[in-house]
Amino acid sequence: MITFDHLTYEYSRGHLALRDVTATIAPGIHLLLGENGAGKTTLLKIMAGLLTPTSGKCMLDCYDSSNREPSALKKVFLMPDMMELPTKNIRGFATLHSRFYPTFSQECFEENLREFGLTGDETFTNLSLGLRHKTLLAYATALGVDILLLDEPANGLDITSKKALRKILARTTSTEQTVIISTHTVSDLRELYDGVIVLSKGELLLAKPSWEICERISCVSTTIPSYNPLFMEQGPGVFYSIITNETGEPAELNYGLLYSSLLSPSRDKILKAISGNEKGENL
Amino acid sequence: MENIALYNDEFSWRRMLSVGYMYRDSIRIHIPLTIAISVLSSCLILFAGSYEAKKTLLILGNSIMGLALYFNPLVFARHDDSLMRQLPVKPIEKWTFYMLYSLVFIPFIIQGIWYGSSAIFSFFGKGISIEDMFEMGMKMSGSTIGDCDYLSPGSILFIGTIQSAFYVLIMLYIVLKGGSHKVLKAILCYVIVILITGLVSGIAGFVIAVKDAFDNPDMAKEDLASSIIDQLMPLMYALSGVYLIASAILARKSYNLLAKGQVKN
Repeated sequence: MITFDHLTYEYSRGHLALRDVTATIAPGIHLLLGENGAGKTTLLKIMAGLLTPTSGKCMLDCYDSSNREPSALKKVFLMPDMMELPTKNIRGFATLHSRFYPTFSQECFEENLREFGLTGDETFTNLSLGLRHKTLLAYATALGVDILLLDEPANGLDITSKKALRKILARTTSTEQTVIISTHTVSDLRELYDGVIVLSKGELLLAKPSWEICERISCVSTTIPSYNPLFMEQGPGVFYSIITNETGEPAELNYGLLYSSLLSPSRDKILKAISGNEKGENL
Repeated sequence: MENIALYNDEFSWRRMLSVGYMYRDSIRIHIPLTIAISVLSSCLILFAGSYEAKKTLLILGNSIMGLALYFNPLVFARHDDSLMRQLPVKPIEKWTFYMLYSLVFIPFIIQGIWYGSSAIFSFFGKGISIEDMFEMGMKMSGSTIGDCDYLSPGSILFIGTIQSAFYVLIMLYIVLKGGSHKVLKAILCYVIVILITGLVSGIAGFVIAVKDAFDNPDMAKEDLASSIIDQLMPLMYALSGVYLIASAILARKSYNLLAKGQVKN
């Protein structure tokens, strides 16, 4: 369980990256969305103990992330968008690094590598961005940490690899684990998300389980405009709308559309429809 | 494979040493390179024929070994610090590792080879004795800190150690501070410190010389030089005091950086 308690982070130049973020994140796979500079990476770094909040707290179960004790740090791993490794290949890195993580599974690591079609002996310098990402993902998902933070994990991955990543995440994520995926390409892993967190200009707009959102709103695509939608966006020959879910039956959630709606003037209507409150909802 | 992760939050020497594993590939290059530099520099001096050649080569060898020592923390420089900073290790364990490696282990290798090889050479009667070399070194250091007759070997060693520790700690601080262009920053910082030290000593020497020449216009050149050096000694000790205080501050600030674990890039 991750708890943000009035979390604020201000960079030394006075730029406010996060403002009064309050939420509780339950175990599961969560999608973290936000425009460039919204504070996504800052939030991930705070969770990983790499940044100390200016005010407020980030609690990982009963540990304050800013205390940075080994017992807390070994339960979290942040895989940034770009990561420089000290070894020639991922297998060598795993040998050195995994000794710090008691939950690392060698079998899982081997299986992940196989899933991505890698041996683990590929030299990093000879790998493309996508291949490098795959080796890191194979390792990070085998760590078995309580909280896994992935910044743009599907960046540079081809279609087959994205499918493999979906499989890996579905296989390796246990019910006690929390995986937070920050990405701009929401469709890649959409079937996996248990919840969504949306940040905009450092403010938390939404933090809700997907099922709860699906019970309250529906995302529909039609050839003619929907009647009285909460939000509507026009595509080539199609209208994407968010409407109130009158039935209460879970409907399919279009994360991209939801995100667009939250950045539009219809934000308040959407948030009201989802929760009745606007901010600081528990996930 | 030992599972370091099973240790608790108390200070652990094993976990401290495990930090080194994360730099294994760099250290595997760094240690042989340091040994090679030290051996080559030592041989360069010891194989030299004449005393004059030895003097020149001692300056060269000393400079090379000095640079190898001062810049040794650059082995920990990475473009991306996020991996090391989220490693489940106590800040004091990381700090102890960096300090032991940079301030004890590498100086031990460099100095060990230097004195070890000269001892071997003098044993076989091929080179000069350690005492002679030390004396020669002391005389040569007059180019920067005055005639060594004014400083005891102990003082030379003390000042030299403080100065070296100061440079090493500057480099370590730059590396741990993070950000980009760490190597460039380290070189620039070294050059700036050398320039400032030289400038302060130069100005002080010039002021003393002018004052002495004005007060006693008939003073012989040798006496004037002796008088200047005599008066510069307190400045040398004061400068060493500054180095010592600055080293303590840098060591503390380095620890703070590790404790906060803030990632700049």
